[in-house]
Parts: sequence; C-alpha cells; structure tokens
Amino acid sequence: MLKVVNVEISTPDRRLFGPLSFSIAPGEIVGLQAPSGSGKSALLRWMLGALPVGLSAQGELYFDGKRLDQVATEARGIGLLLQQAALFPHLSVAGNLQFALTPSPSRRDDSGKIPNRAQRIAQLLHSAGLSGFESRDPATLSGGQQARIALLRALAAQPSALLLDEPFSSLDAELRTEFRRWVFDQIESGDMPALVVSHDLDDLRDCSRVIHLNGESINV
Amino acid sequence: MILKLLGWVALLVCIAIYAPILGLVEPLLTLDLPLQYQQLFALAEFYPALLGTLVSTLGSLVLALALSYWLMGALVFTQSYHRFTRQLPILLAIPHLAFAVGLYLLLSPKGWLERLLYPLDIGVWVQDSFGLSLAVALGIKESWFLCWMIWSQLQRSELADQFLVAQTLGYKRAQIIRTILALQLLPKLRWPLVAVAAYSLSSVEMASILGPTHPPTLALLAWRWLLDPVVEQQQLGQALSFLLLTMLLILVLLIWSLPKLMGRQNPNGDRSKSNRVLGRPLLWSLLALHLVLGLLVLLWSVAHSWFYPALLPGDWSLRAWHSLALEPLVNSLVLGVGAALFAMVLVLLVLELNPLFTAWLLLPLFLPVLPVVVSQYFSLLRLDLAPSGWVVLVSHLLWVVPYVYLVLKPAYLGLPEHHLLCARSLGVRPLQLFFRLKLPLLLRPLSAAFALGFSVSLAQYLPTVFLGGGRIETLTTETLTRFSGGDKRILGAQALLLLMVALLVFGIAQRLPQMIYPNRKAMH
Repeated sequence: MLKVVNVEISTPDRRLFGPLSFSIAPGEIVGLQAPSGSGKSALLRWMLGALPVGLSAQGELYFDGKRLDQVATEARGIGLLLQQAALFPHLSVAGNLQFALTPSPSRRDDSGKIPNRAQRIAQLLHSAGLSGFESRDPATLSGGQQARIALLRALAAQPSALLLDEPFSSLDAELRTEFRRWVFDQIESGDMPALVVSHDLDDLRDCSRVIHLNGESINV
Repeated sequence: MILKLLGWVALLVCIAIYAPILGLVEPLLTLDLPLQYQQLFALAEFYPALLGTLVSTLGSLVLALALSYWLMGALVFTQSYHRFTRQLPILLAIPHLAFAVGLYLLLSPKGWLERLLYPLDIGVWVQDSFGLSLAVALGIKESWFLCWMIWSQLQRSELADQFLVAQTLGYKRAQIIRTILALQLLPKLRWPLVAVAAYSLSSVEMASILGPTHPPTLALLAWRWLLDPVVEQQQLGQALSFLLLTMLLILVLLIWSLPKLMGRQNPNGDRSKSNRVLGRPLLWSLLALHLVLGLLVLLWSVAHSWFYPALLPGDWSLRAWHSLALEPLVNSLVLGVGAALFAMVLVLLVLELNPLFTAWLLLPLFLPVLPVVVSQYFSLLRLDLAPSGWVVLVSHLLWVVPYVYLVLKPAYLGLPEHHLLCARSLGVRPLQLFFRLKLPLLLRPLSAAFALGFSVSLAQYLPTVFLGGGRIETLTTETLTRFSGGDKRILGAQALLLLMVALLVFGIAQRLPQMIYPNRKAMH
C-alpha cells in the first residue's frame, strides 16, 4: 500500500495545493488530474524525492508502513515512466534493460529455473512483442516501441510502486489505447500500486479512481 | 533593408578581423621549416621546454575535465547545484592573471603556505621544471569554463529525465555520472576541450608567473625569440609558434578519439559499487582557495613590511596603491568597453542577417593565441599600419567576438517566435522589431555578453604588447611588468585592481536588467 499523508507543496509565493492525503492499494491504478501549473508533476517528483528547485514540500510518504519521504530517490523503490521515454541513447535496447536489472534475479521463471541476464532480457522483450530487438539502437525505434522499452526498463528493476507522468501523451490515438491497456495490464499483473498523471479523459476512465487537484480544492 | 545592409557590412568587418587567421599557414610558404626545425631540435633547451609544455597542457586538460565532471556530477539537480551554477559566471570572470598572481603569493618560496608550514620546514614550490604547478593552476581555472559548458548541456531536459530515471532504477549519483552522464557529455565537450588545450598550450601570462623558467614553456620561448631583434631568432620563434599549432592539431585528434578510447561501459546492474562523490567538500575547498588567494593579494597590496615567516604584515601602508599608474586602468576600460560594445553590434547584425552558417565566428577560440598574434602582426606590417590603440582594439576583437557570439547566438535563436509573430501581425517593421522587441528581450544575454567580452579584452596580453608595439599599457600588461619588478606589494595592488575591475564590470552587467526593468520580473 502506497500512502501519501498531508502533503502540501508551495512555491516561495504561494501554496500550489494541499494538504492532500490518499492511498493506493497493490494493483490499483489511481489517476491524477489537474490544470497546468497546479503542481501535479511536482507531487510526483516529491514522491520520488526529486522536488524541483524553488519548491518546498511538507507531508509524509509510506510504502507498506515504511516511511519513504526522507529516503534517497534511488533507495525508494518507486519506478517512473515519463512522457518522453528517456532511453539512454549510448546504450542498446538490451543495455537499457540490463541497466535496470539487478545482478541476481529474485524470481524464477515458469520452469522453476533462475534465468540468466540475456534470458531475462529476451523474456522482457518477448512480453512486449519486441523479440530480437536486443541490439537495436533506441533512436531507430518508433515512439510506441520506445515507450514499451521504457516501461520494461521501469518494471525490470522490480519497483514496489510505479508513477507515470503523462506516459501516453506522445503517442497517436490508436497506439495510445493499445499501449495504455498493455501498461495497465502489466501494473495489475505486477500487483503494484500506480499513480498516473494525465489530462486525457480516456486514460483517467481506465483508472480505478481519480484525484482532481484544482487549486486548493481536492476531490478524491 | 537597412538592417540587411548593416548585416552585410558587419559580416565584411568580421571577415576583415578574422583574415589574419589565414596567415597561420604563412610559415609554410616563407620559412625553410625543415631547416628551422633542425636548428630547433638541436637546441638543448628545446626538450625540457617541450616536456614542460606537454605536462602543463595535458595535465591541465585532464585536471579541468576531472574537476568539472566531479563537481557537476556531484551537485547536479541538487539545491547546491542551482546556487553553484548561478555563481559560476563570477568564477569565470576572475582574470587568469590575477588568479596566477594569487597562487604565486601562496606557493612561491617564502610565500604564505611556506610561512604557514614554517615550523614543519616543508618546501613549497612554483615554477617547477615539469610545469606541474602551471598544470594545476590552469586545470583549476579552466574547470569553471568546462563546468559552464557542462551546465549548458545539462539544460537539455532529456539528460535531466535520464538522470531521474536512473535514480528511480536504484543507481547512486556516482554510478549515474559514470555510466550515463560522462559518456554522453564527452562528445559534446570536444570543442570546449580544444579551447582549453589551445589556451593552455600558448599561455604566456600564466606561464610567466607559474611555469618553468630555465627553460620556460615552448610558448614563452617562442615569445622571447619573436621579440628578439635578430632576424634568425625571430624566424626560430615563428617556426616554434607553428609547431605549437601542429601540437594543437595532434591534441584535437586525441580529444576527438577520447569517447572511443574511453569505450562504452556496459552496465552489469550492480548498484552496490558506489562511492560517495564528496562534491560539496571539493567545491568548498576550491572556493576557499579562491578566497585565500583574494585575501593574499589584498594583504600584500596594503602591507608595508611583511617579514618571513610572519603570517600577517607587520605594518600597513597604501604606498603600493599610490605607485599605480592611472593610464593602464583607463586604457583597459576604454579597450574593454569599446571591444565588447563593438563585438556585440557586429554579432547582432551578423545574426540578424543570417543566424545560420555563423559557427566560423568561434574559430579563434580553438587556435593557440601566439601564432595568431604573430599573423596579426604580419598583417599589420603588410598594411603599413603603425601600432596604436585602434589596432590593439581591432586585434582584441578577434577573441572578443567569438565569446560574445557564444553567449548571444543561443539567446538570439531562442527569441520567442510567438512574440515576434505577434508584433509583425501588428504591423511592426523589421527595424522597429529589432529595436523595440528583440533588443529589450535580449537584454539579459546582452549584459552577459558585454561582461564576458570586457573580461576577454581585459585579459589580452600578447595582442596588446605585440600590436601596440609595447606602448599601450593595460592592467594585464602592467601586472606582468610589476611581476618582473619583484615587489610583491605593488604586484598585489596591481593584481587586485585587475580583479576588482573585472568583478565590478561583471557585477554591473549582472544587475543591469534589474536596474532597467525594476518592475518586470521576467526580464531579470
């Protein structure tokens, strides 16, 4: 369970929103909708421990009872998917996934064996319909393929929760629906809590709940 | 129409200012280079001078790159990073010569460090024969320039996103620097590294103070020979300055192959191998060093008697300040303000004519100063012009224009298109658009360009002495003269004046947007 308690984010001049509290159950996908400049991306960055310079925040963040808001970003175990895939351009597709994998896998595959690194990458790519893409240069992939690799990379690190910041907005309408369904399936099958920031009503319709941030009024 | 015409005029003026660069190949045509090099290589002093030059140049390159990577990697995307990058221009504005004088007062025999360590009897040195002290000084000074270049690259949002994503994947700062940022930044830093190499290779000012003396670096050796009245010595100096150009070309090849030499580090997913980066202690140490150097220069400038091994002067006096001449200050201000303003007008008009195909304006940054100055001097002789203040001003422009362009071009290209379109739809003509919209919107980068252009002109030593025929005295030439004089009190006062003028002009330029538009937050 991911839990946000009384978070309040402010610029030096004014309070963007808060105090805001909500929790997200394992496998639950919660949407976050708000007008531009209301602080929704700031909330995500605060949850990651990377609040932009010039903003200040108060509040607490918990995962399964463990307080996270004082923990370094890299130790929080919260994955991130951005509007831009942010694939590392100097690494191949396999290199990007390898970057996220832990040296010793903790999960056995269907046959009960612990797969080696190359097998794990092949499995991940297969799950996204991208088998054989290991040595491809990320720059040569389509937007949809890049987005899939970005999600695979986020999931490969086995995060305990996932935050998605406008993850589908760079995709065209047809691809967007298909990709959204695939991402949501992955989150639900991974049984992890997820928070999706989006302007798009279709994205939000597929979420189990939606939080509306509108100035200081918050509807959960 | 008028703007286009002025743009063409500015372009022609720039071409005339840059024309002496073509003269760099002249030694190939006029000198018997094999014979000159035979003589050069037969000189016993050549090889130690070559060693000192290689150590100081390569050492400064490696140190500047290591320091800038270390600092920026440790601080990037933290609260300290924001504060540090805002203060970077101040560190950049510190003249190389003032920094070198400060280091000399700290590290020279009977300098402040030797006084501090006096009971321990630990020897302290500058001017070592390997050029190590020069390498360290150049490395620290140039690291701020590389930090600035890295900062401008990190402004690209995709690198910031990649950094955050790597953090969410469990990687610590040091690993992200090594595996993600360093490799991607290196190809982007090639030209800045060439600029650092070009400066280090032909630095005469810093080498005079901190470099080896018997023999000095190749640049200093060439400089002395070029000033020699004997024609054969002058030709040897020309051949040596051409050799510096060749050495730079080899360094360019080395810098270009650096990303390949470093290779691609394939990640193995191990998050545990991470050391603390300790960026803040490093930054504070470097800032403390600058503060100590500033204080030392100040203390010497007001010291009356300061006997060894006392840590502070015994008596105080303003005698050193009274002995300073006014003319170098006036000349520096006139040359600096004139060159900066003229360069800004030229660059703006050239950009207005066509912002594309203007990258050649950066060329002087990637050439060693000495051969270019020699070429400027021969152009002067060919045109039958006598050394004068005007000639010195034009010679300064060759280095002021590229720095002004470096600041103004991205700002010019980044002018908000919708504002310009809006104004044009309101019937505003191009000339009005330029003066009423573009110039006000460019006020902040124009202020920065002025400050940078002024400090570049202020720092010019070789063109001032060579093209001014030794008759135009500036704060920079005067500081080196005072260094030769050997009186540390006058040297301190002169270096402090140089530092104060550079920082004062920078401070005014930084506050100019607030002063002109006090009630327009977006303009600050």
